[in-house]
Amino acid sequence: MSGGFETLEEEFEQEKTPAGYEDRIGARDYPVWAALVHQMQALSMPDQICTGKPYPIRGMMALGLNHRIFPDSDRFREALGKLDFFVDFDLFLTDTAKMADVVLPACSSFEREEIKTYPGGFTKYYTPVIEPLYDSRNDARILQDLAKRMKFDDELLCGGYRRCIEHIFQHTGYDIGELEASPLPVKAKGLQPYRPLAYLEQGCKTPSGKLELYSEIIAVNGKEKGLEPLPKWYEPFTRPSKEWPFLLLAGVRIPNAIHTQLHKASWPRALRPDAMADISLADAKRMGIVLGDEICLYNQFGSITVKANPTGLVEEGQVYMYHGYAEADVSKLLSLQDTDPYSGFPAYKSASCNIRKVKGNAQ
Amino acid sequence: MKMIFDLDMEKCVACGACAVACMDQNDIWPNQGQTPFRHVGIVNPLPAQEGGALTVLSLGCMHCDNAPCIQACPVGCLFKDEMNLTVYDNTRCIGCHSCAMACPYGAPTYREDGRMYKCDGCAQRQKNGMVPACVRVCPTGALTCQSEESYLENKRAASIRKILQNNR
Repeated sequence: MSGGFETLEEEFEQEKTPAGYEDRIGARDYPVWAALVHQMQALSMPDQICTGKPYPIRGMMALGLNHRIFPDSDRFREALGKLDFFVDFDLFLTDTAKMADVVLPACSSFEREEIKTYPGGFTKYYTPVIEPLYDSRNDARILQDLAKRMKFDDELLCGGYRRCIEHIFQHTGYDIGELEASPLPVKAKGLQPYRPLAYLEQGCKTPSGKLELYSEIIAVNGKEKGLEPLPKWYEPFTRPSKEWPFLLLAGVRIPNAIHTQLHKASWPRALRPDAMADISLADAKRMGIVLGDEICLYNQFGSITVKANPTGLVEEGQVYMYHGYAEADVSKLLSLQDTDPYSGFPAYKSASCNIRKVKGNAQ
Repeated sequence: MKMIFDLDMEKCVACGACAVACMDQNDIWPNQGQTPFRHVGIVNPLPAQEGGALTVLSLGCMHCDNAPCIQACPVGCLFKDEMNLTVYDNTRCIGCHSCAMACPYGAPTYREDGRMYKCDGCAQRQKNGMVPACVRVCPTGALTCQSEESYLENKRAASIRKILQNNR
């Protein structure tokens, strides 16, 4: 629907569901999430693997899983270690992939096809720039081949990426062959221009059809957990205090790392070679910290040592630490308990810590 | 034809695409200890300008008119080509680092073989009708390499625009 026209993407995801699907991981912990999103909530996974409740998990097949992006990443790692069988797809042999029994090398986006829709009714069929290098493969192809080999009763999945795309786009008026041949994005045919407030005529996608301030979905699904259907202010999990005076922001991004994917790729890594925490110029001045000094970020959950990068981009009292570094994993400073009770999302930007200068910059 | 590298600092967002394209073009491998030719950065205001604005920039060899590195090199490795680019032939380089000491921008780099390597303005690309790799990839059009004539013309046009805007 992101292009402003209806595809069968959501129906496709739900076409075939495994037995016991309703009891997805995390569905009991985060019932509102489970009611709205057709996925498991991975934040509940470590506990479920370790306790076997509500049911045991023995094996896992993951696509590009990185345990370091989860709060309390050591706990996540420990849980992965308890699995009987673990398959991981990845572009790189990450620390998570190293724990897998089987690692299937996925190719990069330059080596595979992909269809994408864009706001304004545009669709682009990206074709590979080069063939996949070495033994790597398109991850959609890996899934297709596995489905075939395991004789899944799933005609679409066994049919491959192109077959799935043709199915998903069947009512859009697009000819997939034409899309593939076009070097530019193609506008959907017969697209009605957006009319302001049209959703009021059709009704919103809510149980009442209205724009809800009082959420029926939360009222029904969140009742057991005591969740409020009306917007409510919750205090942050941790507020900067005397002991932990800095607000720790662990969910910020380095654009050239593309989340954590390219931390190990030499060229983008060269733009910012060291694991660094960004701190404000005022805090740096007060604490006698200069660029490149080794500093320790610590709180009640853990500590990491990184280099300091005083910058005018950060407000006083805040620390920006980027995630996914093997040598300085900021997720060790986050608690797996501090999650949003509605969505299950972790508090990447609601933690606190302190800073200690370890060593001055030798230069 | 004299070519001039120019960075429009109002357009640069320090995305780093130029630096990565440069490493690709010149086969520079930082993971093997090699230093990139181009750097991008966000520069904090000086302490005297507390609260002042941040500056973002992309910095490589500026191909100076009166290049101090050329004058500093005792064995004549560095010279100007027909496009006024500061190019080099490092077969005679003795690794004395005199060029690096003379350069105000930190452009010369050194490798394990002890020799100097630096940005040559993608002279080979330019001789074959292509723009430098960093310029080609710049998504905002901040980094350009243009003839002196076009550079001066654009500069005059920008000044006139500024005057007109200020008097509006």
